[in-house]
Amino acid sequence: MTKKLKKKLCLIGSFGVGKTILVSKYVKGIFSEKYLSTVGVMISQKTVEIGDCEVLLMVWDLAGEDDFQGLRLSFIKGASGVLFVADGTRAETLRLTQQHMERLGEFYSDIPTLLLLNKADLQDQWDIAEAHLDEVRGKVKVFRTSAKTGENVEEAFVRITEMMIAPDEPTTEAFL
Amino acid sequence: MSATDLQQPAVASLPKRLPNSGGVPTYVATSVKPISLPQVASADGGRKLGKASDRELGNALKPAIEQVVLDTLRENPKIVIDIVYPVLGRVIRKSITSALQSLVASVESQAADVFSLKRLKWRWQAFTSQRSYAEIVLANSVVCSVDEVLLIHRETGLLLVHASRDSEHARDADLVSSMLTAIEDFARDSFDLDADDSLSSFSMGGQTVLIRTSPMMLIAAAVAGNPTSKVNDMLDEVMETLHSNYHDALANFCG
Ligand SMILES: Nc1nc2c(ncn2[C@@H]2O[C@H](COP(=O)(O)OP(=O)(O)OP(=O)(O)O)[C@@H](O)[C@H]2O)c(=O)[nH]1
Ligand SMILES: [Mg+2]
Repeated sequence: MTKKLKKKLCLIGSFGVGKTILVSKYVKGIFSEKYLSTVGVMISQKTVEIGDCEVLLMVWDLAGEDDFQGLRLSFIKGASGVLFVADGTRAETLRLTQQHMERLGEFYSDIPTLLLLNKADLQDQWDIAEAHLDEVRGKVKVFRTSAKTGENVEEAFVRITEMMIAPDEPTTEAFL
Repeated sequence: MSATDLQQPAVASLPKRLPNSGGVPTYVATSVKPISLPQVASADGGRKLGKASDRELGNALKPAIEQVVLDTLRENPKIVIDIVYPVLGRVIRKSITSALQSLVASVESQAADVFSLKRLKWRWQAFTSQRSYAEIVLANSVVCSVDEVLLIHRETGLLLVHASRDSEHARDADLVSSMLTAIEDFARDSFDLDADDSLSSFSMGGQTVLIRTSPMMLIAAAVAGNPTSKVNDMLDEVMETLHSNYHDALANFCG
């Protein structure tokens, strides 16, 4: 018998890193070049099947925020998982994300998180040094994603969902 | 008369009532029930770490702490007043507001019928059924219908139970639940309200969405027409029952 679950997932990251488009790609299969900055929060839903579990994922795509103070903690409360998103063509978005992860850890230390390094299709504009990436990898698992090509998008969402329903399970996969 | 005037006598009578009511917790528990302790316990929002061991520790320390608290309160009831005063004020304000709103709703709906034939019919009904005229009027004054009810887990915004007149809405109920929670949180953050103040209703077209919140959950009822006091009372009642019966299940809910 399938077990039905509902879980809340949050996407957090700086402006324009591709949070909304990633969700749109995953939920509706649609990519768009147009940039419409999110105000407040946008909520979508998607059913994910994992083993004999049917998980209804409520995806909260939060408005981009460079400053942690500007993040609405009330939107994050109750989340079972967080996807941090940074823009691979702008190293500073990765640094800001690292700060966010650290600050959020003070409030929610035990929820599963992944980091998506987005816009992987823009290789010629790639701005992340290997050393920087290694530093990040020490703290969180990183997926290199592209909302444009769809690379790793589904994988990342499925992986975070797995972690959300079985947070203690150790992971053996290699990422990137 | 303002709400502030009304608070004074109630609070002033506290010190007199406390010592001879035979126990402070009783007073606190009955008077301030809607905003009671569970809220304090969950005030830190989603920290799930160490819940079980916290609870065991809490249980072990409870008797000792309770005794100390009781003794302290007996010696210095003023502490209670300081603590309870702001809460009490809000409770009183809230209940006055909702009582007034109920009154307005029922007066409005009756006034609308003043010159109608209906009233004659009701008088006849009252006469033949041996019930009071007021009772008949009340029974007939229902001018709204509850189309949809959502029971939502407050912390996660996840839909717990959904009831609807027609099944068409059912698909979106999960999304609506999350959005309502977001709006509710947003409103509370933006207007700098306290945790126990909350959005209580909003209207769109002929529909009113009534909202009741407790620290654990949120009930939203979509009502067509003017929500009567009966509907409002019913929601309050349901909320209280659910809160006391399912408190633990709600506190441990994780999807
Ligand atoms: N080439 C490329 N462009 C992308 C990718 N992901 C997002 N974009 C573009 O980046 C821009 C911003 O995307 P959004 O998803 O709106 O960004 P956001 O993170 O939601 O931004 P805020 O809502 O302001 O926080 C859009 O113009 C997208 O088309 C990607 O993987 N590759
Ligand atoms: Mg966005």
